[in-house]
Amino acid sequence: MHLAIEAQALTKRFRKLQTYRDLVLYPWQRADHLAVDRVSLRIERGELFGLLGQNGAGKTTLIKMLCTALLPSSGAASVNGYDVVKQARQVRERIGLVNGEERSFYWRLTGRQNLEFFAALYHVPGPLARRRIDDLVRRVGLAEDADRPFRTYSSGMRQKLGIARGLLGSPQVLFMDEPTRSLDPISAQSMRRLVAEYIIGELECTVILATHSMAEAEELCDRLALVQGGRVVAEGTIAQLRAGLRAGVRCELRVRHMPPELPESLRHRAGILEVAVTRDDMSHLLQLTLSEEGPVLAGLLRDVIESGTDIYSCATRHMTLEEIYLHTLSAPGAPERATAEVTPC
Amino acid sequence: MLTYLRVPWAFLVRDYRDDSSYKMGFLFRVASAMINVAIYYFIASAVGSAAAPYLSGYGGNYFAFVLIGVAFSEYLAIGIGAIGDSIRQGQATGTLELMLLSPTRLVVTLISSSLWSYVFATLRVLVYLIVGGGLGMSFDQANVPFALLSLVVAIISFNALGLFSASVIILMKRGDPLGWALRVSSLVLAGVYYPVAVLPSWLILIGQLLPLTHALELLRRSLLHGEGFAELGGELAILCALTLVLLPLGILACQLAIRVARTDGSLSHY
Repeated sequence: MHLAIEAQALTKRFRKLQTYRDLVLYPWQRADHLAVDRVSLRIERGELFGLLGQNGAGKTTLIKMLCTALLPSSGAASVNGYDVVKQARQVRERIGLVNGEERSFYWRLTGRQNLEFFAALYHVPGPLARRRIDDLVRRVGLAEDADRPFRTYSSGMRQKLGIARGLLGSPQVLFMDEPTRSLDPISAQSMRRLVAEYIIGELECTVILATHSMAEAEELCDRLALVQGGRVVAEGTIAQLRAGLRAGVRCELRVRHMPPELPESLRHRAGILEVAVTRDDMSHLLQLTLSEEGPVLAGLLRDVIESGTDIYSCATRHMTLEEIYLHTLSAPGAPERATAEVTPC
Repeated sequence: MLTYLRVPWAFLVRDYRDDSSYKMGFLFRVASAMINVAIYYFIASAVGSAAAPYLSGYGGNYFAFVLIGVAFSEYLAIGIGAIGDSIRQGQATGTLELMLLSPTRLVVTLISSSLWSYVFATLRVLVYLIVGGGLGMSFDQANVPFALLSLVVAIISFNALGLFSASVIILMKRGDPLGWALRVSSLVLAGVYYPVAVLPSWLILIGQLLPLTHALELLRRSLLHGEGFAELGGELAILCALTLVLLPLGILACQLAIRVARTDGSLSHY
């Protein structure tokens, strides 16, 4: 198997900022903040791997360690076989970074001039750099505006230029940290197309995408990791995540003449995990979460009919990524936030 | 060869474009050099021949002495401050982290980031010397090749000091006590405004540790007296030795500072 990224028990602790009071009263105590906690990942070449999690979950810290901006506290990681600590330069020759940081350009230079500067840092020869810049500004939709000063760009245009910059060095692995954060829906859609068709399809890059957009992750990612409190709490394809929850199907029944004890009896039936009832003028809406379709659904329908209830409509659907995300990250036992530890020096 | 020059050239072009977009600032900095020359000309007129006993080794003319001191100490200010300023700007704009994540070597990135400042300082030095020449300063005996060689070695040594200063900025973000101390001690002890001979002997001894002291001695005597290797070889050797000690230590200091910043995650903080 050709791995683009391999991380083993990758951990990052930051020293917490201490107040002057703490420094005086507890000079020998050191408070650490655990930002990434023993994360192990194996990402294949050409894969589009998503990182989902709340703000502060550790996604950006994980990306920064993988792209050599940050040194891990413990554990190991490699990018295309190169160690991110011992072979940082080789890693940098093979990666690109698209961060959501809009200000990370020279504001008095034009978009094209900014790209020319960064192309030189990536050792792209002049004529090739010019061709590549022309191609990239066209692909991200900035061809008309490339020669305008960066300071006149909108947030979305800045983000598009950031994507073009990330691709300047023809990276084998591209890290994208919330690349569509400031884009309108139409631009975000065209950016997703760029990622799928050009970056993955033509360039055959491996992409690690940190995002809050469920639609983006659902549309693009081959596999996903759900990150919470610095830990990967679930990992796999959407189907695997759904199966892992054992709560993969939503079922909605619109019914009439329902006996009042039916919802309670359904709650005790094997394979039915959640039951919610809402009532409107003439009917009830039963919303159920099932572990699977097939026998569980058949048994459910049989029980409902046998209770004398009339079924007016029945719809089932798989859980969306957003529902999987909310279900997983709010599940009991999932770490709620990064832990703080006090370690004596 | 061209490949190696691509990155420094990119920094030069970037900074030229950025600087020249502030049109008035560009003009005012050139104009201020002219005004400085006029000020030192009048001070020299007031001092007259009173300083001559101390200036016999430099042609006896205070105007020429101070003008060379002030003009070339600009390189020191650039050497100490330009890399740090560039890092601070990179931290504030968020570009530093992206620059350091490129495959370009750290030392090339840092040194290249100060190049435009040196080009602009050279422009100001030329203004000093041309206006000074117009006001009677003579370069008839100047040993220009030796002066240029001395200047190159001096600039490398100033950049080495700048790397120490940049290390402090990488770690502390604001406030650069090391850069301040280097600038002030150089202005006081290196003989920018007066010959070091007027200082107490123990201060003269401390001044010998500063590259600017030797750089100014080399530049004044080569430009005003036409001296070269035969007379100034020893002085040049001392400056080279200082540079050979300071430069690797400066690079090491920067590498350590970057490592600390990569450990505590503060590379892009400001």
